Parts: sequence; structure tokens; C-alpha cells
Amino acid sequence: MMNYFPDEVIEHIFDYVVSHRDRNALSLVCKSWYRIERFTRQRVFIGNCYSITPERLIQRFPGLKSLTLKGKPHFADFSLVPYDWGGFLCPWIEALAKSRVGLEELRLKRMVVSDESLELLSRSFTHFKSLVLVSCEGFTTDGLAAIAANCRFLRELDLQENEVEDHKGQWLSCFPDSCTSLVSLNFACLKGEVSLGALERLVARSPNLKSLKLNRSVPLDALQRIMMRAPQLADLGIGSFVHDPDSEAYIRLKNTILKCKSITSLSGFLEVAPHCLAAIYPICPNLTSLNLSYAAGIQGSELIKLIRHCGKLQRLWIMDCIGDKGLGVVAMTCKDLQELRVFPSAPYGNPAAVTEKGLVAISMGCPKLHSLLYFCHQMTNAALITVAKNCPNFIRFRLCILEALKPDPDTLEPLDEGFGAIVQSCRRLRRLSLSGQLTDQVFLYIGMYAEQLEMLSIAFAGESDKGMLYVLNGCKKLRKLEIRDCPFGNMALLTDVGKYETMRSLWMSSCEVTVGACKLLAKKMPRLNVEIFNENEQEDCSLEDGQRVEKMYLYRTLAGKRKDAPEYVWTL
Amino acid sequence: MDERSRSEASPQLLDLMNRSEGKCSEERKLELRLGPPGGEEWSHSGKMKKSNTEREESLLSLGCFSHAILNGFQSKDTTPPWPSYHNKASSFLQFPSTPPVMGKEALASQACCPKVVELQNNDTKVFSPSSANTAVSQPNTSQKRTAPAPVVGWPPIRSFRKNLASSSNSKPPPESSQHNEVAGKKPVDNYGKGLFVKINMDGVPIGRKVDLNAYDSYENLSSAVDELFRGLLAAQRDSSAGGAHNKVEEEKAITGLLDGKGEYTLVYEDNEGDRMLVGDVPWHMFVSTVKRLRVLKSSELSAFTLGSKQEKIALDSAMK
Repeated sequence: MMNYFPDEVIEHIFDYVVSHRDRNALSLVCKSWYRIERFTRQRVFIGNCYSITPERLIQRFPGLKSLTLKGKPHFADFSLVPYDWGGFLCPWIEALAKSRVGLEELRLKRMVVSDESLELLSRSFTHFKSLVLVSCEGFTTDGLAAIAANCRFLRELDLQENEVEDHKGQWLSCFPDSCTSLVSLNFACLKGEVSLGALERLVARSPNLKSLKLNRSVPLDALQRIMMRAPQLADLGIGSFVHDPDSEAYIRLKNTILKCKSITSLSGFLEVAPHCLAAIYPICPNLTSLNLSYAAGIQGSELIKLIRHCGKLQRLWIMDCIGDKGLGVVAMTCKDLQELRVFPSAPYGNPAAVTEKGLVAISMGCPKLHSLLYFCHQMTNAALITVAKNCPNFIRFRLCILEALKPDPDTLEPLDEGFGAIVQSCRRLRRLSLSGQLTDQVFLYIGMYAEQLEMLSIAFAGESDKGMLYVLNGCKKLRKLEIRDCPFGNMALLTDVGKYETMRSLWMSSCEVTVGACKLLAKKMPRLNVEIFNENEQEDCSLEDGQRVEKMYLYRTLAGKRKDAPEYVWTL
Repeated sequence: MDERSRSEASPQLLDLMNRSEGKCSEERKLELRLGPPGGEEWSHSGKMKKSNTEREESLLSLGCFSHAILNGFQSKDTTPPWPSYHNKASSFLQFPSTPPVMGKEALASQACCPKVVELQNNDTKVFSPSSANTAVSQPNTSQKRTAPAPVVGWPPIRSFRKNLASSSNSKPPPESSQHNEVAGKKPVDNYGKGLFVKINMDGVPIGRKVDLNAYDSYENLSSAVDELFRGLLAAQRDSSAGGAHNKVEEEKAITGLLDGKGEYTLVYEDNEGDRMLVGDVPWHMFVSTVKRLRVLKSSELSAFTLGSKQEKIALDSAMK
């Protein structure tokens, strides 16, 4: 029936189809839908920048306006991927700049971004509006200066946890007076100073500014002046919050805060004197999102006092110094809580910090919880079973027991049953990270029950190839599998080679896979790039088949072997 | 819906099981042959009977299991194919040597599926001793499978976060620093868990700073302290002795900081303001509570110098 409609009608209908997956599905229906879809597609998500070439992307989607690119594998966050592995933005910007694509939005994660790329980006797309960089590196404040200076209609500059070199060039002052379109500005991760005057003027001439996240160099008195000029702010990231509570500046701040009734999201406190926290109690009842995971200066008792005011919280990121007791307060206070992240406050955690008790309390008080990242010292099967019963809605469940291989301290059993209960109860689970002592059993449960699972992270778990096979076999929707230090070997790797083309990527490090098996896999599956990292210093290291592979990363691709790999990466 | 989807899943899983079941007896023969004489039997005998029923109960109390899966358990490998990890000493794993006691009641009461009763009847037939491997032999095998420390990338925290504590030690605005010093609060540049802590030594007017994250044990810290202050101490002695006598004052090593036998003893101030002897608690606990370090002359160390803040204030003046 649809084939009898003119293209314009179909296009109009497609306008309502927004999600990437739905769009992808549309394009597979028939040739004419493929054609219509590709010309009307504006937003494209590329989960692995090496899965396709920029040229091919541009050719298929000439109307591209918004591009999301992800580079390095997830374990790069934990220093497992060597420096200069790849993920360079440059070829993408160059290709896009040469084309007629009118890029407006660019979102990057774990990519290497150079100042030259940023400069080229800023000059090539007149209507460029939004730049979001997450966990990227390779650029300096000079690159930011180019963005500020040249993107006339910039609405969003959002820098999250990037490694940026500070060149003291006053990048913030490069926003011209004519730039009044800012909606979101986040420079919390920058280490250097910015011109406070330029910042205040920028805020003053940005009436649409809704989200502002400052870095550590912005002191409290400047914060007060900024908040005066932007009472419409909804999302605030405080840099430095240190002041004498008897001073004029602090009293002014307290009064200004009272006027900022629209703030619903608060973060930062990169530097904080706890006695100043009382100033924000008035806005706490409005908060739906609170991120104190960078606030190393706030002790547990102050955190608890603060949380008591936050009855509407939906998202809470916090450090484990809040303790089990504090989590009990969260459970009593934050009935709408949906997302919780508890980070360790010292490299090996604080032994008195959080345990299974805190998590159970949360599960009892917060039934809407669907996303969890929890670093703790211990976990029991009983607790996990209780949590599974109380919170069947988990979409993301990431548990990290700080001591690897730690069993249930009460029964000394592995945690198979606990995680098994989680996957059995939470039928919508899409992401799971395991820890603690685990046998093949847990993977059996995962394979059986985790039908929606898309991403699985495994470390120091399992006993045999069967573990990995249960997962590969059972989890039909699996897209990303990352494994470290597990006894999974060639049999597991090679039993179902076709599976990897249904996935985005597989990472295996410190497992039992050999070079020979990887070579065989690469030979059987030409549309996979099988990369082995050979970090030995020896010059004459040839890859012998029987050799164990230290790190392997494989991903499906239409782009063939990549040309920008460093020397230690062998693409088989 | 659940039933249907699960039965869709199990055929594939069944395939997997069957394949390995075929090899099962062969594998087992191989295993027995390869293992040390009597080794295999040892790991199973005596524990088998106990674990049998325990295993049943744990599976059944977890809930809805299909026959196929339970059948599959028979063919599970009994030895981990991970010989390289056997007998590796581990600083990670503090495993007790006693076999685990299964919390039967706890697990049974957590049953989350009403089908437990039905399954129980069916499955008593299914189980055979060979499936006993899991629960009990776990600890043995896992004990041997260990992670050598230190481990790169563990715990999985972004380096951005790991640097937080050290990067929070930056200079705050002037007003607040005055306020904090006056109020006697902890040193302003120690927000967070203070990876860089001040260390002062009796008789040396200039203090140093140490990055506690650079060390993983008290011994390493002790030698670092020796290195830091050896030269300074010698220079002090030099100057106090007039300097005319010996230009080359020998630098004496600072030893016995931790056992009370040396000329000096290492103490620290914790997050509650108490002065404590270094070395009592596990290293990581020490790192998370220490605020500053001091190297005191052992002769001046008495029961009075250690303890609460109140005593300390009185004694500080006395000691000076």
C-alpha cells in the first residue's frame, strides 16, 4: 500500500521515525524505502569509527546533520589500551569538510581529537551548533579557542572528562560579542584558568543558557555573579565552593541561590569546604539530578545531611564515603530514584564504606531503580537475590566488588546465584558487569535468562570455555562483549564465528586465546578486523601460532583493515 | 511469554550440552588419566555426598529450571583448564581453607519461582555424583586461580577519577585558608583522602611531602622517609655542631621507624585528629585515614604522645 504514496508523503511519515534502530529497520524494507530513508536521514550513530569509512557514510547520507562517533574500546578507560591505538577524528572531519554535508552536531566518545581537526571543524560548517566530547584526548585549549571564535551559531560546547592540555590562551575570551546563542557550556574538566570577566559577559549575553558547568578555577564569588545573570539555569556545575561562611560574598551567594528556582541538576564541587554546603539546601528539593562523584572534599555526614533535602532525586552519583547508613537515608528520601552510581573514594576503597547492606536498603526504598553502578567491598548472594526481587526493572546493572575474585563472605560461595537472580528477574536488562568469584554457572544463567542483554563486562570469572559459550550461544542481542583475565580459550572463540558479525565488538585480554586461533578466525571471517596487540619490546617478535594472545580486539567492519594502526597492532 | 521465550532459548543450549555430553565420558577418562594419581578422586570424595544435596537445593531454590539444563550439569568439566594459575600465591585472595558451608535455609527461602516443588520430584533422578563438582570444588579451584597483584586497570575506574584526590589538593582562595587555619581544622590542602601528605621530622625545620600512592607497604614508606630526611638530618646536625668540625658529616640511615627500635619512630595523624603509631592497620586502611605524618624521636615517645586531640594540645606545648 505504501508504495502507492508519493515520496513526499513517505518522507513525511519517516520524519516521525526518530530512533536509529527504527530508521535502520526502515531502510531494510525495500529499495525505495532505502532510498527515501537515506536522503532524509539527519542523525547517524556510529558505535565503532572503524566499522565504516567516512566517505561511505557521506555517500549514503548526504543530508547528514548530526554525527555520533565512538573510537577506542571501553577498556581504554582503564588503561588497557595502549597509547595511540587509534580513534582519530581527523579523517572524518577532512572527509566531511570536503563534502557538501552541512554538519551541525558532532558527538565523540573515546576519540583522539587534534587542534587541527577542531580548527577545520570550526571553519568548515557554517551552521555548526553542537560539540560534545566525552573521554577524548589530543587537543588543547587552542582547539577550543577556534571553536569559540569561528562557530557563529554555537549552542552547545560540552566537555566531559577529557584530557585537555591547557595553553593559557584565554579560549573563553574568543567567543565574539555576537555570540548569543549558547544553551549549554561545560568546561568542568579543564584544569586551567579562564578569564572570569569574559565568562560573566558571555553568560550575560546568553539568554538561552540552560546548562553551565564550571571548572575548579572559578571561585565562589564569580559563581555568585554568574548565577545572578542566569537565573534561568537548569543545570549547574559548581567549580570551587570554598568560602568563609561569614563573608559578604557567601551571604550574597546564599541569596542568589534562593532566586535560582529552576535548577534541577547540580554537579561539580571540585573543591569544597563542607561548611558552605548549607547554602544549596534551598535548591535541593527541586533537584532531579545530583552528581557529587567529583566532590572528594565532602565527608559522609555532610553528604547525608544534604541528601535529606533532596526528595525528588532521580539520578544520584556519589562517592562511597556516604556509607551503608547514608544509602539507607537515600532509600528513605529519594523515592523516585532511577539511576545510582557509587564510586570508590580511595583507590582501594574505604573499608568502612559501602557493602551489600547499602544496596539492599536502596532496593527496598527505590523500586524505580533501573541503572546501577556500584563499587563495594563485598556482596552476598542473599543480597543480590533480594535486590533482584525488589527491583525487577534494571536496564543497567554494574557491580564492582573491589577485591577481585572475592566470594560471598557469609557463605564463601561464588556469586553465581546472586547474579543469576538478577538476570532472571530483570528481563529488560541490557547491560551487565560482573565481579567477585564466579564460575561457569553464572554464564549459564546469563545465557538462559538475559535475553535483552547487549553489553557484558567480565573480569576474573569463569572456569572453562563453556562459560563464554553459554553467553555467545544464549544472548541473542549481544553487541559488546569485553573479557579480561578469564580462562576462556580457543574453543570458546572459534565455536561460533558467525556470531561476531552480529556484534559490534569483542575484547579479550589475559585470556587463553592463542595467535593461531585468532588467525583462523580472521581467515574465516573477512568482514571482521581481528587485532592483536603485541606490546613486547623485542624487535624480532614473530607471531607464533601457539603463543598466547595478551590482548585481542575484534570488530565487524565494512572498511577493511585500517591504515592508521600503530606498530604494535597486528590486524590478522 | 516467559515460558515460550525460554523454550526458544533452551534448544540451542541443549545442542551445546549434547555436544559436550557426547564427549563427556571421554573427557572424564582423559581428566582422570591426566590428573595426579588419586588427585581427582581426592577432590571429590568425602565432599561429594555433602555437596550433592546442597547442589540440588541451591539450584532448585533459585527457581524455574528446565530438565535440559539440569541434565547439562552432569557434563560439566571437573578440572579447570587453567593449569598455569595453579598454586600461584595471591595477595588478592584471602581464602579460608575450610570448605564452604552452604546456607541452605537462606537460599531455600529466597525461592523466587513457584515451580520449585515440581522440579524437586523430577530432578532427584537426574542428579548424579559427577555433577557435584561445582559448589564444593569451587573453592579449591578458585583458590588456585588467582590474580597476581598489582593489576592494571583494576578496579575499573577511569584515570580521570583516580586523579581526583590528588588534584583536589590545589590552593583555595585566601580568605578560606585563613579561616580554616584559625578554626584548627585539618590542613586546607588536604581535601579528599590526601594522597600527598605532609611529613615533618623532629629536629628538621623544613617539612616534606610524600605521595602515599607511590608506595604499597609500610616498608616502602619507611625507606622513603629515610631517603627524604637522611640528608636534611645530617645537615641539621652539621649546622648545630657549628659546622667547623666535620665538613663531611656522615649521613646516617634512619632505621627502625616502624618497630620502635630506631632512634626515630613514625607516627601519623588520622582523620579524627588522633595521633597514631604507623603500622597497626592494613596499608590501604592507613592510606585512607592518614592526614599527615611525623617522625618523632623515640625517646620522646611515650604513652602520652599517642591518643586524643585534647591530650595532644597539652603535650604539643610540653614537647616544644
